[in-house]
Amino acid sequence: MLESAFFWLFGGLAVAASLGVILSRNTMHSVMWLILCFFNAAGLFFLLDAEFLGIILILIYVGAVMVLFMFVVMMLEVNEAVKREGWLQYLPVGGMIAVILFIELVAASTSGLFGSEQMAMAAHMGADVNNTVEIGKELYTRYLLGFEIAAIILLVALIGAIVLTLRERKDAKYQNISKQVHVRKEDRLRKVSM
Amino acid sequence: MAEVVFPFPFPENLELILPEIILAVMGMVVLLMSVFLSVSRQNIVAGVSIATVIAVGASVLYVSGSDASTTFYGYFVLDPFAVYAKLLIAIATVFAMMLSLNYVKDEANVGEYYTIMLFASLGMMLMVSATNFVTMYLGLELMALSVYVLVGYQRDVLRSTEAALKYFILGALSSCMLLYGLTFLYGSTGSFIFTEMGDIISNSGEDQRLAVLTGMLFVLAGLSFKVSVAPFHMWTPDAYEGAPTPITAFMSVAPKVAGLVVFMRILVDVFPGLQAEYTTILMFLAVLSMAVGNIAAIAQRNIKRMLAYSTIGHIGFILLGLIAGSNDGYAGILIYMTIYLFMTMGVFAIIIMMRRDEIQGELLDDFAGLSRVRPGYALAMGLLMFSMAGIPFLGGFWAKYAVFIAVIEADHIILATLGVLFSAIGAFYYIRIVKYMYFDEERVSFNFAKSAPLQVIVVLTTLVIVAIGIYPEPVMAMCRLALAGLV
Amino acid sequence: MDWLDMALQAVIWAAEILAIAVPVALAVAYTTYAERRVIGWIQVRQGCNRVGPYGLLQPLADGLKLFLKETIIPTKANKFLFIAAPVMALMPALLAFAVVPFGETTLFGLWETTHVMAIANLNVGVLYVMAISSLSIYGILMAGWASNSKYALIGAIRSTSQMISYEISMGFSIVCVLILAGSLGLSDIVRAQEGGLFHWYFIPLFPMFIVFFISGAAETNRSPFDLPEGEAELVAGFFVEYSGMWFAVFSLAEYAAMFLIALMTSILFLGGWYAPIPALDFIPGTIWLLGKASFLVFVFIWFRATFPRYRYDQLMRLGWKVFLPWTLAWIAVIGISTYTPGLSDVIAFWQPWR
Repeated sequence: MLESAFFWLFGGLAVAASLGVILSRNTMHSVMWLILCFFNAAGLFFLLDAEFLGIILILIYVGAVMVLFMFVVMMLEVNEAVKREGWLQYLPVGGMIAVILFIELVAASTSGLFGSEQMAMAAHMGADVNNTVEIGKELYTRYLLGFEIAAIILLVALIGAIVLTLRERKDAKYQNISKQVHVRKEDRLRKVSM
Repeated sequence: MAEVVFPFPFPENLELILPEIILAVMGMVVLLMSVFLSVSRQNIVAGVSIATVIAVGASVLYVSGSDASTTFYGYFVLDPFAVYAKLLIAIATVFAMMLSLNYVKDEANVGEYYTIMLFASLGMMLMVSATNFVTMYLGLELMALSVYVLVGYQRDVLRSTEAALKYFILGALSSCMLLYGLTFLYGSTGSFIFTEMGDIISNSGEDQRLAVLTGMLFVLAGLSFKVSVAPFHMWTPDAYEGAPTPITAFMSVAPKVAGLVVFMRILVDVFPGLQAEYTTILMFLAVLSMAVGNIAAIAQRNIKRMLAYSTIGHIGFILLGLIAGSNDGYAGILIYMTIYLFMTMGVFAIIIMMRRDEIQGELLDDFAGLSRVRPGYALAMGLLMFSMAGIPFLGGFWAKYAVFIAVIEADHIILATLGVLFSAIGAFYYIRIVKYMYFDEERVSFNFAKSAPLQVIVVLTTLVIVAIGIYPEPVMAMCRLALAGLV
Repeated sequence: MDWLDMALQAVIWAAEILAIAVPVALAVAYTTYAERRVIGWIQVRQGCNRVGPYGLLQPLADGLKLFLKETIIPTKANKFLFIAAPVMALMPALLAFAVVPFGETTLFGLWETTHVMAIANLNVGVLYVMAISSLSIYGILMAGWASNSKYALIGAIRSTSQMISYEISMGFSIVCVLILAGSLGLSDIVRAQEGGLFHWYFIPLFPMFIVFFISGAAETNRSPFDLPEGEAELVAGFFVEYSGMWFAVFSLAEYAAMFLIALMTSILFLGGWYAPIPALDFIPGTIWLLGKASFLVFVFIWFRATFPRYRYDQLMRLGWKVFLPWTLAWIAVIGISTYTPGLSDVIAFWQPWR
């Protein structure tokens, strides 16, 4: 009973926070709502005994990704008036997509595929089963290939981000310190016979 | 604490993944090499990269002789089909790197350029070896991410940046669609493995049909984005035009090969139970692609844009092979892709040679009067254009012939007729270039870049196209053999 | 479980939380006193000695003063976030204490088995501490942004990039500990170091011990990494606009975080509640743990008294070009030696899970 109470608490707060993300006028507030939403999602993971996933969600998304989000939002000067402009124009398309997605979700959830008899209720395995260990076993054996590919994807993202941003602007003057340090006397000094 | 007992033994037959390991390791080696080599010796990096890809091609052939075909607990497969696709990818990568030799020589960060190219081909090779959606999706993302970066590589060129941004946003959207579709499929089958999902879907009842169909629609849409099938082609012209030309050549061949191979695998393995449904969708996509590709290309003045639409058109023809759904159809796709690879690489080599100090050499007008100054290149370009148009007895004719025959055998006569019609329309703009070269007055002075690798590519690809045109049987036989892995 | 049990459980939880939160608040108050005395001693002067005997009541006087001061909210500030920021800064610092095991006890023989003295003995305790302490960035970021002031914004941005940079090397140095201990639970990590000084992880992981501790100083914005405050150029950095109690909450958070880092270092590298020589184990473990942590807090103060502040580019260089390669290399060293015949026998000394 306590569990279902917590489920409604986390679930309800997550939905409310998601609404806050899209409805609040201040971008900074949106980011804060999103953080709250992630917290509640993590709470739902805890309820499912997936404490590793819950903590990782907080560590990665709240602790790192959202900080960068906030960083970017802080740097932007979002003009409220411009932001709201033309939302009526996008309403038909956006509304259509929303309605379609909603119908799909309802269809999927009422199809009986996800009923409790289909999906064997995720039983609590007890304190002996450490889901960090279980995830580790799966990740480093069965999904080892995928894990390694993901690592290379991250490497490419890293290289790509640096390649696309690190460049010498041709229209600005720079002091090249290593060049200055490596200068030899022949470069600067010229003997003139008098 | 007890000793951790692993549920799986150490993966067997690891040698099958040797080519991928070579690529991954050498990608990192190349990255480090470029850090430690002085600016004037960066061309060593290019040489090492090309040698790596050639070694990868050789190692693919070497490991294909192995008795086993799967490794990583069945999550990676190396069947003849994958071997053939990997060879095509390796050839395309080598060609694209050779095209790059002169092009990026003066750019900054040459090492990263080749590194990312190596990782892109790694992603594609993993895609074609995927037996499940996890490996497939990760390979796809690795490939896509690398290509986004390559498209935007010329950071100071406005249209390159613009192209990269457009490509990135639409690519991310398509990945989302693919993943969204996957959630439906995973939810209704509980598996990621192609064949397992196929069995469950074939035997599933009416109540699951909606979820599975929705999932299939989204997966098809997501994949269609990646291989630029109309109506999901919007990014193609901009990305092709903005990207550095060698990358345009690369992305018009290699990702298409990988994407189509995955397309075929998924249709054959996952959706055999839904053949009637997906054939209807594919018919629509194919007709639209052929129409958009071949008609919109006429209006283009920039040859890279024109070739972008031409790619869309060619993909439309290739889809005919999927619609046929027969061995002949699938073999036709492989033949088409093989020939398309050589044609495209040859054409892009000539376009890159046209680039002079100030002029990009990408406009159709730039080709005017080429035959009088450089009869050799004009002849090669003419042959390649005739081949793209599907004039008999050049390579491109047999490509189209293979898919048309397959689709006629599958009793889609109307589709075949439309295909012939659109290829006749398409012939107009290919042959228009020949007209520019041979019948128009010279407008700008030609000053071809002297580059041995480019000349080698032009001569080689033209010879291959002519040779296949005269004697197509060996290629066709090879493609039929390669099908052994698929069906 | 009926209502009575639940109510009882709630009372127990409340008591446990109070048992942690109140000492932490007191410890923080007296750390400020210790800081002033120690720095005074190092700099050959008296430090605070006026309020009460030896100035012992000074922290209370300070608290009273701050409490009575007016709280000023700038007109152009974003009021909601401005007020929420100090709370957001303090909350994670206190929350993280929930999983810190202060020792093992049988409650004077009342229980048959030993219990770990922690509010929640999570089996992912290390990750929990990392996750929660990474949240303290938000308080600083929000304070900087909501103040609507240049100094505050620059201070917040500096602080954020500094914390993110050092969190990485901190995380990697923890990975080395995890490889040796074979568990993510803090109490398991301590138990893995049972058996005296030579079993403590600062011996095989000496570079990581240093990296972790120094990164901890950077994470908590302590000197010599206190650039976010940088009074020379930023006046007081992210809390320049705060006054009175809200200002006090920020320093409370900083000292609580410092204490947490000291405790974590003791737990991960210095054998937690175990005595350096097993014969000394008759002294309660809590005293050992707090003693180790207090020594490390002293080292933090020592840093502040002796080191000049880093320049910003030096700070980034240290984080990314020195610590990160070191930690990555050490993970490889530990990982490879765990599975290399010969070496694995040596390292097995610290790996009780084998």
